[in-house]
Amino acid sequence: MSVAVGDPGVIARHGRGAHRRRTPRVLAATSVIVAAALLVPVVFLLVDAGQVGEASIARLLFRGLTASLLWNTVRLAAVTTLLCAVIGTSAAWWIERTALPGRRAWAVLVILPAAVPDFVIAYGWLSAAPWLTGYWGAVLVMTLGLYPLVYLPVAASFRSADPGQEEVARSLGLRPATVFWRVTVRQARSALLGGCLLVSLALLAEYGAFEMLRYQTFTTEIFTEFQVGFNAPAACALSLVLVALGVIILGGEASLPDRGRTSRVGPMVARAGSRLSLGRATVPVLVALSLLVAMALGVPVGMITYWLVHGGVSTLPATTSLLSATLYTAGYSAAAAALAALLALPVALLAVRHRSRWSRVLERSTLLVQALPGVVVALALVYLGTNYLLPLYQTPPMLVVAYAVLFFPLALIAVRATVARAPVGLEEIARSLGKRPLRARLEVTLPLIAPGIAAAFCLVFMASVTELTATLILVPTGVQTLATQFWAFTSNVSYSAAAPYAAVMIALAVVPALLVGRWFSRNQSPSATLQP
Amino acid sequence: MSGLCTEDLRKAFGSNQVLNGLSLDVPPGSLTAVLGSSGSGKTTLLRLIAGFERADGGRIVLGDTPVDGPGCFVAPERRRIGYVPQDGALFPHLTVAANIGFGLPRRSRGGDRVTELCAIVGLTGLESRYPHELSGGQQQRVALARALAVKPNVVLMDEPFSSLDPAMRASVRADVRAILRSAEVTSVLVTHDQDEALSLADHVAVLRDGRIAQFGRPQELYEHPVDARMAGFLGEANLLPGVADGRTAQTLLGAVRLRAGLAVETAGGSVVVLIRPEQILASTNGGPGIPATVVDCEYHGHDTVLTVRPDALGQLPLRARTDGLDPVAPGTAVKLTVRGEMLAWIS
Ligand SMILES: Nc1ncnc2c1ncn2[C@@H]1O[C@H](COP(=O)(O)OP(=O)(O)OP(=O)(O)O)[C@@H](O)[C@H]1O
Ligand SMILES: [Mg+2]
Repeated sequence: MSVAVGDPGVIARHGRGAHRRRTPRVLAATSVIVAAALLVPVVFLLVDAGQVGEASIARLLFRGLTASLLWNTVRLAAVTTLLCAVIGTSAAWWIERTALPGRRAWAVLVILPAAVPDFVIAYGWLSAAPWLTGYWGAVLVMTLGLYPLVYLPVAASFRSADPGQEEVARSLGLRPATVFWRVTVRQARSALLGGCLLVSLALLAEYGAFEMLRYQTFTTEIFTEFQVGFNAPAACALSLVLVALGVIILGGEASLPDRGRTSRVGPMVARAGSRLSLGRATVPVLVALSLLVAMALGVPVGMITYWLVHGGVSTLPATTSLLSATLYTAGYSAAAAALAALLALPVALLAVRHRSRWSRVLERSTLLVQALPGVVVALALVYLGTNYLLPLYQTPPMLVVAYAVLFFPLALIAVRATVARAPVGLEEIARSLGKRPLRARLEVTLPLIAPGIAAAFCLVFMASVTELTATLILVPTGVQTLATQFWAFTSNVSYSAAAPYAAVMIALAVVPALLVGRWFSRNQSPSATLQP
Repeated sequence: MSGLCTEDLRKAFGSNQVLNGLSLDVPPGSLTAVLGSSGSGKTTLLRLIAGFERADGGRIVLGDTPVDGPGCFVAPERRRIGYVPQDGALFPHLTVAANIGFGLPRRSRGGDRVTELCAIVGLTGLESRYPHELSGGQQQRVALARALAVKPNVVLMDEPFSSLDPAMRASVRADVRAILRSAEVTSVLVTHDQDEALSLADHVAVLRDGRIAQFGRPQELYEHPVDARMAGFLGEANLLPGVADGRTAQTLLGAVRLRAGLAVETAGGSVVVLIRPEQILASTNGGPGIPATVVDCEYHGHDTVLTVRPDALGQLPLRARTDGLDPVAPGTAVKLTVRGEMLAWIS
């Protein structure tokens, strides 16, 4: 994963000898267990496929349907990822590097759409403009929903990048636009690629928005085959293609050369660079940002408000109250967030502090989960549950585990970044002052990486609250979460009845979204290095 | 108070043999400076002594206890060695007082010991500040107090003054020396600054090619470098080829007197003669001497160092002192005279 949050320079300063220490057995063992657990869905997908048999899978795949799904998925992913890259990078540059009026407010406003589930954005747009379906509707909605995934890492990298490089480039006679392309974008390159990777993987995994927009992709088809047609073999066969696509994207990103190496001589404290004045471009930029926020945030929130105020009487009785749905959602999401943060800790420590070939392989294998869309993880767990763990099937633990597995990579990114900036040297000092290794870790490293653990919790919590696909499949019997109840109402076009559920979902997700935004902006602070 | 001793210490990173049979004996209670150029393995040596890294071969003995060696390794937390790293490395999430008290038992963390140490290092009143609210010199002193708090056997300091500006360096240096004296603790300081090593330490060890090339008191080292390269490393040196005969050597600057008791005195033959800049006097008012032209002049205020080129000898530039205090313009003609007794080695 290459969301460039960690700064390799910091490791280099204090982390000498890290690779030489012997890997503690407990840490290694826990990490192996975590990795194995994460790979369970892949294994069961393959077992499932093995039972369906090669011949029938081939028959199910070599159809016209597969080709059209592939075309739909690829053209959507390509165009949306490009748009997200452009929007996310420009917004990040305007907000972090120019003297834009109201930067702080914009910085908050542009990340808020991250707290709005994509299917709620679709709901907002569809209730305002019912004709907006199909390819262009999907492109619009997904771009608005996913550009924060590019914005966050790119903005963080702009903030931490050495402004000195831009200044030197200017002094060498390059014009501002040239500096932007040759220096600024290069500095943010690995963050940008990481963000694009997240966007394209999210596009592969999305179900709810596409279903509402009546745009058919692999995920929607898998879901229909499984839930509506009860055709498990077809779902399994299509899942294989979907996972293969994800692995191709991951592998492509990982194989790109020169992933944002940085080197810096001297103090690690980045000076605040002077901001570029926008001059006559100020007004157009403000208009563009206002338009972005209006479309990504204004439309869904406005429509929810509209339905809340003007709502008629629902034709469908709610099977559960708003309160209980809220409590279930919050409970499952919090449990999953805690579990994922806990699981990420040993893997992050191993990957950063005990670098070796096999710790890298281990880390990579856990990130492979990113290529697994929610629907695939859910189906694998269904297969596992119905065949081997019947008592757990459709129980809360299974849903919590599904969330934790799905969003493990998010937790790992956050924890790993802070572990990387907590200097190993401090733990060594603690030991020279008489602390045993575990105590040294608890007293020194843990407080330093606590913000990363908290950020991991927030990210996973936010993602779980807004998760729909796996929830629909795995939700415990007799329970409705906010997402599933919202979905039940919108499927019956009871838009006004659905509105409160969307509102609460956004309310639950918005606090962690803001905290995560703050963390991304803070975690470049030089607190871990001490220069006069 | 215990001494520290390493025997035949070896450490390699991959194919890079950083320490190659390093033996060093630090007398109890003394301040020893390890002097080496950048990348010579100074930090590596300290990390081995502190126990952060394991030696590939050789032994480290602390007092009478072996702490690293074949079949023996004492963990860093049981060595009682205070370590002050290159950048201070204070715990950023703790106050000054909590940093200093970090290694103390829980009961005594808020107690007198911390107050006492704050007073010793001159930080009284700053106890509740955080590291980022301190100046570089203050951070350095907190790091030292933290290391001293646990009453260590030995204190190791890795270029503790390199991040300070020159004006501050002198005062922090003096402070640290006084603190270490009063704490009566054996200490090792590594540095690449020969001035610092010579002026601060009781003993100096020069680290070269992975071993200690010379060990002794500062004056011994400066006056009796083991070879010509060492002479060049410890202060400025003019190294001239010559032919020795008894206690005289013929050089490009004429006949010079050699110090008594040198190996070349009996052997004779072709030698390298060391002439320090202060032993060559460049006179601007004529008189006897070897005619030369000034190439460059470095004015230091308290003295003036010239680069001169003897007219007869072509290229060879020499470093010399003037007899006056005023700067001399390049191109000025001077006369060189050599005074005192020189060191020489068989070449
Ligand atoms: N963890 C490591 N892995 C590989 N090589 C290392 C490692 N640590 C040090 N080295 C190498 O060992 C040599 C000695 O390094 P060391 O840091 O001990 O030098 P130093 O004398 O402290 O230098 P400086 O004065 O610049 O701090 C260098 O060539 C360095 O590149
Ligand atoms: Mg060093």
